[in-house]
Amino acid sequence: MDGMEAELLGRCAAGETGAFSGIVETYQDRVYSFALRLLKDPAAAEEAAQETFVKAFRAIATYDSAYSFSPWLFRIAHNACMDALRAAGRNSSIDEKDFPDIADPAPGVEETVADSMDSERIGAMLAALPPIYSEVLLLQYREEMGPAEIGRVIGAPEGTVKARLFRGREILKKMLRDATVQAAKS
Amino acid sequence: MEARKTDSIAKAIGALPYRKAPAGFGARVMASIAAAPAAISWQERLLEQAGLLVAGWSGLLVSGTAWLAWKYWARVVVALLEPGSLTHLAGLAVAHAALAADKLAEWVSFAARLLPGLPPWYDTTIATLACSFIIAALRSGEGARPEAAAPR
Repeated sequence: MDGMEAELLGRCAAGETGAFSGIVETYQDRVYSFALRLLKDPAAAEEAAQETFVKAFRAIATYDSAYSFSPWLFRIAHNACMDALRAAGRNSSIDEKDFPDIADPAPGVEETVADSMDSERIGAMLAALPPIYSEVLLLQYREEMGPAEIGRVIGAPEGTVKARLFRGREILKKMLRDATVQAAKS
Repeated sequence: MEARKTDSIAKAIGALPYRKAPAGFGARVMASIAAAPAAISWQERLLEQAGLLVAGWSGLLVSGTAWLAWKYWARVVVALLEPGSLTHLAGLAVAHAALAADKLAEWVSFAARLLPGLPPWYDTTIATLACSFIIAALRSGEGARPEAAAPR
């Protein structure tokens, strides 16, 4: 957290509503992107992101500045997204058991797999993952949080976070392998 | 090879561009914040409830008095105009005051009889301090965890 952000948060905690617009400006794209990748619906993502900031503002007095701000904000975003998914009746996609079985890697395709990734492709693959996996992958690699911080965001033990990260990566690798094999056949 | 692949996944996810929030998003958030009523602390809520109670009682008393005055004003005026009515009213007020003083004295005497049955003051003080300390310790422990602080 930089000094500017700390100052803005301090002013917000002191009841200065206008100072919160600086926080919104800093985090709006990150929170909206996170919500959009989980909810896959721009309107729902906008609503969840908006709810996140409004709730964050109301609870800003409870934020402990000894901790980093972004995990605290992303925890609110996580809750808003999970509520939206539940409200949309997408319980099955939140559920831990909703993931494909992973086969052993097919030898010979690994090299091509490793080199064949671009943002568009990985974005599409993340969108195909159950949210519990795409969420931890985004938080770790895009938001650069550690397993402990991710655990605080999603309200799960660190071991669960590591297991989900592993599982998510494995599913992505399988998707990449399948895509490469498909491309080689055609 | 596995490490290389994981690295490339991490790199690709890390390089994902952020989607731009819709135009006017920040303004809409700030408008929602301005429109929504501010969170009220429990102390403010308690004061608000006490204020409402006092206002309610005052309203009831004023309405009742106004209704009585409206209904009996002619009789009151006639009674006040009669000779010796003011002395009579003063006597009535003195009698009411004496009754109230008597009730107060009775209440004080009842409290005095009750006091010896209560635990000594230092017991009560120690128990109050111990309870306050436990509550404060529990509250501070709760606030130290960011996941507890983050609202759902």
